[in-house]
Amino acid sequence: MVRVRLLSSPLLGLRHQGAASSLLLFGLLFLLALPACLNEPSERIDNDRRVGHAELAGVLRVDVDEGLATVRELTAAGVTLWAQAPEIAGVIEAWAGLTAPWRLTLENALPDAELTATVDGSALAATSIPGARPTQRIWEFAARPDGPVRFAVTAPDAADPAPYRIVYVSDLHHGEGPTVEIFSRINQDAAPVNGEPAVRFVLCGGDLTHRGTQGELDPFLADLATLNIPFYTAAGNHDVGWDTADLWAATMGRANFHFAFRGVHFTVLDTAGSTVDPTAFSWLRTWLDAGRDAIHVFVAHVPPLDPVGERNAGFSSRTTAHRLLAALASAGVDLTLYGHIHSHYAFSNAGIPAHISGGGISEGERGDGIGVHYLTIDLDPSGTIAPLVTVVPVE
Amino acid sequence: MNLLLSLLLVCQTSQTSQTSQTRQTYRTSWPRAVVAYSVVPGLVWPGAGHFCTGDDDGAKKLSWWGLAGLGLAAAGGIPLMLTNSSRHATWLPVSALWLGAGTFVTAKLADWFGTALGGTGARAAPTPPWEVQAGLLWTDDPLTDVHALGTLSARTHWRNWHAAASAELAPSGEDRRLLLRLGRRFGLPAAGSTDPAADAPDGSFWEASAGVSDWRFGEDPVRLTTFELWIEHRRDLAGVHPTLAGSFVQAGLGFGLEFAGYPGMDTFGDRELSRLALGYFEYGVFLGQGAGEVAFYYDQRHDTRAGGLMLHISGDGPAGAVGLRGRHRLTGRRGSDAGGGWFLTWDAARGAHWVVQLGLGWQGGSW
Repeated sequence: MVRVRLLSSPLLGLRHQGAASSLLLFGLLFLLALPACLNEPSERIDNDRRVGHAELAGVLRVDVDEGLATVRELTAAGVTLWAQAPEIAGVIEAWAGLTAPWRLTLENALPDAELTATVDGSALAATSIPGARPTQRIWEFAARPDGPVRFAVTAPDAADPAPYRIVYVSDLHHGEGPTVEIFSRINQDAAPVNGEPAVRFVLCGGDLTHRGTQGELDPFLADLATLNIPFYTAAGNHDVGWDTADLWAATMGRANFHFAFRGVHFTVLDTAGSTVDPTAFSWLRTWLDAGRDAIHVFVAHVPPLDPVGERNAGFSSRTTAHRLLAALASAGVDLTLYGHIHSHYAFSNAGIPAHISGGGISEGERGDGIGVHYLTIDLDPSGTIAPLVTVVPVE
Repeated sequence: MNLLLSLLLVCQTSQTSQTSQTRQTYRTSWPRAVVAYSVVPGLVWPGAGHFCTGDDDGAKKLSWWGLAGLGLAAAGGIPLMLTNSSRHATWLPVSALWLGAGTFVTAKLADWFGTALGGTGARAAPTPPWEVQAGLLWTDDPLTDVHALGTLSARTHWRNWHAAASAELAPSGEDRRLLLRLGRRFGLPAAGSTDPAADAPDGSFWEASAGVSDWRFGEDPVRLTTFELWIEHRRDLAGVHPTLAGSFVQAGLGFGLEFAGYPGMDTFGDRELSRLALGYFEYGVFLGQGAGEVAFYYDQRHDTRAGGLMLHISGDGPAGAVGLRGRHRLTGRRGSDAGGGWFLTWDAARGAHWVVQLGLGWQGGSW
């Protein structure tokens, strides 16, 4: 034990410096020992900057716009991407090491996604090859391109102004809930009606597994392969809270991202650390500006404010929560979706309709009268009808 | 296992060496072994440090104190666990959980203090009838450009009534917080006193109070108006056990209603209501004969500038902030009465953000 003399008389009574200094020492050590680095939002910011950009020396380089797809695999035979949005674009540079024919494989794609590719403004022909599942799209190119390939994966109904439906689910905690049954039920809802897809994609609030390890993610992804529509997810505290942020970035992509589809904007923010990183907050302001005049849906894992305030299963700092909500309100966000709390709550935050739907796990909040569930959300890009949210129980 | 055996051996050696000493001789002068007992066994169970120094009576008291804390924490934690934090059972179990944890932690701190120092004989400063203070506040909140604010506060005690007002003001005007509080103290009767309403000479008290705060801040303006009710207790530990003389515990339990206004909400009726679980506990030591005090504290509330702790682990959110604070009398007669003089206060809180405050004040003498 070291006696510290942080202050000297008359600030401390001479005879009692020992008591005060020992308490000071204890307190300072305690305060300084607090920061750890298991669930660090700034680490995920660095990862977000890297997602969508990869290079295999002498073979291929891929840069996805806005980092909206993570590069799962780069080989001499092509590239495999995992999409985080219905529509993505980017550039592929090919070098001598690329063997022809080569492939662009897009996992987590819209089943009806279409590819356009150009080299120096001239169209580059690609052959669509059936994937192993509806959400796997493969395009094959006959020859190695002469220059950088500008590609865009788009939806055939991208310009359709009609309302459409998506699904929101959260807190699947694979192994602790009926994940396959939930996906099966969503597939039933998503089955095409008159040739039109009934549900375009799934948004998820995170917590896919309990620990986010490779050993847990692999079986989850195997079950996810049974889902017939794409699945765009936020990161939960169980996904990235155990020093698994790098694996998350490599497998699922960015923790903070934004995209627009058929006139509706979607912003997914990383709140897995019960806060918002200042860099993510600056990105958010840009995204809010982009969607200011459109229907805008905001998704995050941890809700800024717990509707049961005294429980505080929200942000660590309520002032941070209020700052975030005020920014969303100022930008006219239309709907906020959260997870983390294993039940369903419909409430208002900053005047914006809010839903917490942590219904993917079997052991939810007791006494709430709500079991395993997900939400369907009808979105009208014109804004004539406010987003309509319906709770769908899963037996 | 080796560590456990070593601890047992150290403890056993200590008890043997203490048997020839008078058990009423509690004061120590920081021998290394005693410090080791206070730090290491005290971390295992409150009272273990006293037990190792042969102070069975102190060990027993601290053990019960710690056990009460664990029991209270379990009474709150078990319902939360069994109901998966049900919305129907929140304030009471949440409050019991952290208050129980606080009771346990303060018992461990008391064990450390008592074993290492054996009581200092320092005592509380008399409560001044009035005081005014000005200071500075700094925060590292990264979501705002407002990091430094000025603070002003005034406090008065009249008979058993206590009133306080304070303000935190940013030079830019972007951040302004005002607080008012009115309370009534119920002093513990002094030994032999027949007046239960009189302040106990050691400064122990119970206080019931009500407060309101109004806070405007943010680039996208937020306005928070919070009404709160409190019950607080301070206990000078000299009356609990001789080795603890010179230290105190204080705790408060409260409930708040927060009305939050955001851009586009023009009237008070538009605001959104949140319930808040309020509370804190602290363990402190007195300095000299009324020269001041230093305290380590935990604050459960999340609506302060510090917010709650972020341990950067999965599941952050429910924990409150921790901090150290101090008050030091700079001039005037120390301890003899509540004579006027300058005083200095400081506070360093660690929640989601660091908040450091420094204040200089003047306290008045008797009315």
